[in-house]
Amino acid sequence: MKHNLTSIAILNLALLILTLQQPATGNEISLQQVDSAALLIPAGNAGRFTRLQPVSSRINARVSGMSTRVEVQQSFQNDSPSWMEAVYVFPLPDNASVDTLEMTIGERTIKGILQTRSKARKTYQQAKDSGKRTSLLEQQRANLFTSRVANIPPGEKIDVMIAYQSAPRYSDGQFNLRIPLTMTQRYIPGQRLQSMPDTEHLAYEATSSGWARPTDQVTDADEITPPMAAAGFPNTTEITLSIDSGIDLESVESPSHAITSTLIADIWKVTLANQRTAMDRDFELLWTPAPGASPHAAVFREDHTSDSGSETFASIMLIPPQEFFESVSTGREVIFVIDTSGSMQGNSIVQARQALQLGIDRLELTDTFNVIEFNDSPHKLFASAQPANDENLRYANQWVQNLNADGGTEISAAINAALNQQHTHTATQDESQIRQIVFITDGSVGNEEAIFHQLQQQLGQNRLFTIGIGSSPNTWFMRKAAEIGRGSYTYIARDNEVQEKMLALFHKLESPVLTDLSLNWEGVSAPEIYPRTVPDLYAGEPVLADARWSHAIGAADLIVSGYHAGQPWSRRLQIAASNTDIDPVTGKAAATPKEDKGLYKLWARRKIDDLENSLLFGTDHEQVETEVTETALDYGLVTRYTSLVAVEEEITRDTALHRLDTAAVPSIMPAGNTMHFPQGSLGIGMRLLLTLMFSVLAIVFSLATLRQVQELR
Amino acid sequence: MKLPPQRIKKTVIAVLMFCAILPAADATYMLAKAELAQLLIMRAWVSSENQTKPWPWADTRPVAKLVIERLDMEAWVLNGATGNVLAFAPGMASGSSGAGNRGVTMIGGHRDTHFKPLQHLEQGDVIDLQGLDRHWHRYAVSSITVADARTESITNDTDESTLLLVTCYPFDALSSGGPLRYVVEAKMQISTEL
Repeated sequence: MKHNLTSIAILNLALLILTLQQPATGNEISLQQVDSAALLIPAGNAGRFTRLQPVSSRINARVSGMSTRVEVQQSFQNDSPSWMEAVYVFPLPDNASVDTLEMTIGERTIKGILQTRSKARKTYQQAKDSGKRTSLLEQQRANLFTSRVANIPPGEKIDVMIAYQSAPRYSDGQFNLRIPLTMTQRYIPGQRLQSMPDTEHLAYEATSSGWARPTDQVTDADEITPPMAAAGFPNTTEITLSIDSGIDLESVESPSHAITSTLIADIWKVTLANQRTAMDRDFELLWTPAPGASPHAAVFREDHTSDSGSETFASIMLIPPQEFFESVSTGREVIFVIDTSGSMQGNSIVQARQALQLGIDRLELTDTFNVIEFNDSPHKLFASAQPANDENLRYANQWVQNLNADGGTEISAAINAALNQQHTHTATQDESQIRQIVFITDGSVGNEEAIFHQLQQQLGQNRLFTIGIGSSPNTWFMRKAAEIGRGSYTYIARDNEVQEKMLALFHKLESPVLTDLSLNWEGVSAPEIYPRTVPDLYAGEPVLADARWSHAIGAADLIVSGYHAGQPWSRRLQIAASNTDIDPVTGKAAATPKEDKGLYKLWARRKIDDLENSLLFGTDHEQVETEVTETALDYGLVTRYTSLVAVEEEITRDTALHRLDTAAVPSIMPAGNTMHFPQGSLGIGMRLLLTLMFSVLAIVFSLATLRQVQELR
Repeated sequence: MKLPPQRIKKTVIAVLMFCAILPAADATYMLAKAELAQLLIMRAWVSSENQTKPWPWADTRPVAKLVIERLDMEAWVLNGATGNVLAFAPGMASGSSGAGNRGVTMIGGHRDTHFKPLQHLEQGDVIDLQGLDRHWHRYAVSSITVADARTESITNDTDESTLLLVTCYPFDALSSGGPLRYVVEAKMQISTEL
């Protein structure tokens, strides 16, 4: 009996501990209107919630020479009890020519057709309202797309496949391919608009699910700000790649993910070491040609036959000889601009500080410099640029050491501060001296165009070099800004890359450039060629151009000429007759693989870029829209004005019986860049309860012992 | 060799009592730390120099003073909302905008010490926050929600000056480390000089 007493007490204790172990979970909040299985986030005001839909993705990329074909499959599994529309805002590379949308339901595949944006919206809306399964792919920014899939039945899934053509980049002796998997949230400046700005929005029944409302500066803010989920949200992807580069490779590696790569019959096959990966950082692949196999020139040619006749397309890459870049210039003026806004918080600001310090340390006594940090407003280290003497450098280093990240990203004010600095040079110095601006940021802004326009207006003798920091910076913005700023863009993905990438950049900045480049043709009429003006060249960068002739051409010669250190320089390249390539190594014509290289798609994308650029020079908006739409429809590309839409003929949802819910697919917070909720308790209650329990137990046990002793007597 | 049963029982009682005292002492230490720290922080705050540390080995410094008159609550806020800071005082999450600035100012605190009174907050309640520049900013509670820290996070997206006070939820949960957060959102009404 006495034993029972103690065992009851122990049992009680065990029970208490068990109840304690039950975590305080979602059941305690009263959200009766939603089922507990759904993933929810608050939407705007208190009490309103948005359902979150995970996406499972599969990406397959095939690289062949200078052309890449990528297929992105997105699976939307509806695990809720209601019919669902999924809205997914996702990133694609900024040079992607998106040409395919396919919707797969079980065994059937429905191909998407290209329509103008407004027409495609109508097609989609009608199909959605009438209960047909349908999918829409729209472009929001050069690197930001939205896919919508409507009428996913409860418990079923719909797959959409999106395919695009792009080109790997070649820089500093390496090819690289980036597949963006998530995005850094954009900072939306401006005043919030009271009503929707244009009628286009009315085509939707309030289905946009962005966290920001439109503002006067970013009228589509709600379209480009998908909900963000913390790491751990089940958005995952599988990635497989094959590389048929046509040259011997020394290495294939990924700085972002663990991969396995195997060489099978001259083709490298790459897969993720872990089959699936969380979509919390961009995927990057680098491949390096074997020594001696480095390309110095490559010309790819493709004849494209359509209803309107035959055209010829050529893709050109030329690498200036290395010995050009060995001398060093001195007496430069360098302005460092560092983003210290809230989105840079965490690892990003640490990397940025590191990069900045490397840059400062590399300055020569003859150089002058200044540092500007900005968030809501810019702050300068010195009122004007100062000589890079020991004292100034020490002071700058200390100042940089203490920079922290918070607040907004008002890039515009920072650019203003950097570009409009007074020159400190004495009259003896060259008026036309170039000033280099090194801009370190994650570029998470929503009003990209306004900033491009500002750059265009204020550039003058400045050159802008952008450095992207963080696990998923707005690459398109920074590349474009560097392009307009006639400099270059460098991306730093990881801590251990800071040194290497910054040194490469500074080497570039110190090396004289190849300027005033022009492309001239012999034997054929001048083609329509992009970019229209070839940018200045820095060490390790290739000359790239895409050309089109409105008729099939024979063999032709291309002469690339420019100036190096005041001396004329030129190089001759041959484009062989019909469908042949120039071998990148030997420079001789080689047999062409039969497959579609999609050069016309790359060219069309360059042309569309060029047209959109012309907006910055004041070309009429409507004219650009007409020309972009025309080009896009001719070559079948998704643009800001054209979308792909797929509709199933059959009606699956009885609209009278079932309502359609909309769920947003969140982007995963880029790794190392979150403002997490703080931990909220010390667990004092738990400790006091434990005290109480053990006290009671001790008393019960003493009493039991006491009684036992008495009985023994 | 066998110990006398009497001896075993005494040992058991001693162990049980020890087990009872240990968490009590721990809890007392935590509460004392939280209370005492506020005094030291207050001292650092009144000293004119902004960078003053509340105690010599502190890895943080006070960045704001928080007052909720209706709840008779007054607290000094430290920089950073990590565990080591929150043990002493409410902390301003890194990445926050400064008091009164455009954007989100997020302050976290423990629900069993400094932020215990928050459960009595109501819509429209007035919260006063003094920033490093010693200006006072008056906020009014605009919403009170419960968030799940596993799937949600805060973004500094808003144009308005928004104050978020965050603590664990539910207030009477015994164990710590749950995923739910009690989020008080307040919008700035007016700023005044000292």
